[in-house]
Amino acid sequence: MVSPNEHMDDLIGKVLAREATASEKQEVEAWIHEHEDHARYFRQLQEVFDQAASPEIQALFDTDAAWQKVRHKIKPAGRQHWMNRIPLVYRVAAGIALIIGTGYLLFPLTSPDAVPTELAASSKIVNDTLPDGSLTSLNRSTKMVYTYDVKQKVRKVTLQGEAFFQVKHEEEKPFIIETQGVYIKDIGTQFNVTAFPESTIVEVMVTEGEVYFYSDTNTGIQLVAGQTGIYDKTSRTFTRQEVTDTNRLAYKTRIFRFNNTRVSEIIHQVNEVYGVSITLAQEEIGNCHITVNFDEETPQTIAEIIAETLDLVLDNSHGRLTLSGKGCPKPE
Amino acid sequence: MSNSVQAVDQRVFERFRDGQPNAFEMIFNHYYRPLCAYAYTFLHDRDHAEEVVQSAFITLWEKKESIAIDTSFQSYLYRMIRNACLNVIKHEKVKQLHVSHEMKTGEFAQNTTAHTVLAQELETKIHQAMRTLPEQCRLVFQLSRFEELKYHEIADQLDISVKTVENHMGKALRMMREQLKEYLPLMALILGGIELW
Repeated sequence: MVSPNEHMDDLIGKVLAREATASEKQEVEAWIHEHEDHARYFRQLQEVFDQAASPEIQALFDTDAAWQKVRHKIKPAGRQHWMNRIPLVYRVAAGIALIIGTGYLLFPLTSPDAVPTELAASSKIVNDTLPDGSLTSLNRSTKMVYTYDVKQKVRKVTLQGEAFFQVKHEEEKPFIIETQGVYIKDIGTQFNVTAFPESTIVEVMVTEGEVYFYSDTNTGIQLVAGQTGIYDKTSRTFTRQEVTDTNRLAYKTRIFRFNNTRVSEIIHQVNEVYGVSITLAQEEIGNCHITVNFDEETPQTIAEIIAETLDLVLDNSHGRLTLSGKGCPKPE
Repeated sequence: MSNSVQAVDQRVFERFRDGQPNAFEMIFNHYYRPLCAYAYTFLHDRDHAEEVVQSAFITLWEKKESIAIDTSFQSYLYRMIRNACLNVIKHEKVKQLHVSHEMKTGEFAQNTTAHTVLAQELETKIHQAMRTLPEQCRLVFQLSRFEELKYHEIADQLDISVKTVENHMGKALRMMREQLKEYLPLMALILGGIELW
């Protein structure tokens, strides 16, 4: 086994820590190519360097449990603790009431909460209320399981597909969604999660409040209302975008906002959401751009509005909606 | 695989300074685990590491208006944890409180969160190896790997020359490799491919 001199160890350290100059890099590179053992030695140092700060060790620590402890020790900004403003005698009385009250609370230990709740949507959108009072809408081909972990006091949802959540925020019971190896933690929120197994990304769009989007080994990103977070399953990276496309929620809201959008795209989205098939007799119609809003309209009305806007003819014979007329030139 | 922690959004930090509990919770969620992992490299005890990080966060909240940050908020947090750990160590030395290492090394094995036994064993080995480094050498290594400081920043903070930082880093890698030699092929197997820089 080769034992390189200490000078080389220092240089390798600089290369790994990205401190090496171009000539130092060359020196290390040349040394590596000198002998197979050198290359192996370099790789070993590289592994030591990488693995020492490996994020794996973070899995030892439980953030939620810790937060429950810390949360109780911080005072809201600029406010006196409410307890200090209550005369002592009432505080004692409250203490007694609490003890009596706890007796009742101990009873429903085997609450139905502990039983997993399964929801699934195959061909239709499903709107439902979870056992904790949170509202959810499942898009087509979506499955979810809700469980309340009594011991950890955590509300957990495992999700496959796409769903919108309107979480009933409870400080004591965090609400966490697990999907495709990543987590979304609610901090008082309404948000949409898109996580189909066949897709290479997981997308979280926040319409109100904020969420925390992370994985076991990546501390992830925070998202506030108006932002969309994307997790790339291949590169395992999180990115944040300053936009939200509210049409993404149309499967639930049936509300569309199109701003100078191609007709082909509009029809594609409407067909997806309603599970219908509006077709264009002339493909060129799809090239036209229109600005239009649809608020909970039927597909029939939507097709009529498009026809009127572009001076087209709508044919709804044979249970199909077909638009025909003059199209627009293809953009170059 | 990247070891670096993505920095928290500047706006979250600003809202935290304005006293918004949500922003504080965000910061906590984001940094709690990496900071515990860092504290663990100093204290080698899970509970102590968590205690230090939790009380640091409580102090952070109490002093939020008066925090003066010269670099980044993230480096501020890491430095805060490092100083708190070094304080604990100093304190323990004075008290001559010496907990047997051997008793503590078993704790990786108790953790079951999505961790194979083999990967846990490796982590234990890496930590054990890190512990055997001479004090200053280990500190340089920690500042580089966990706080991701540049060599000149480490030199400034520890009041040593950049050349000494280079020597310590080289020495840390050499000594740890020596101890982990037999595990290193296994690591490559578990942790996937290696690329040259």
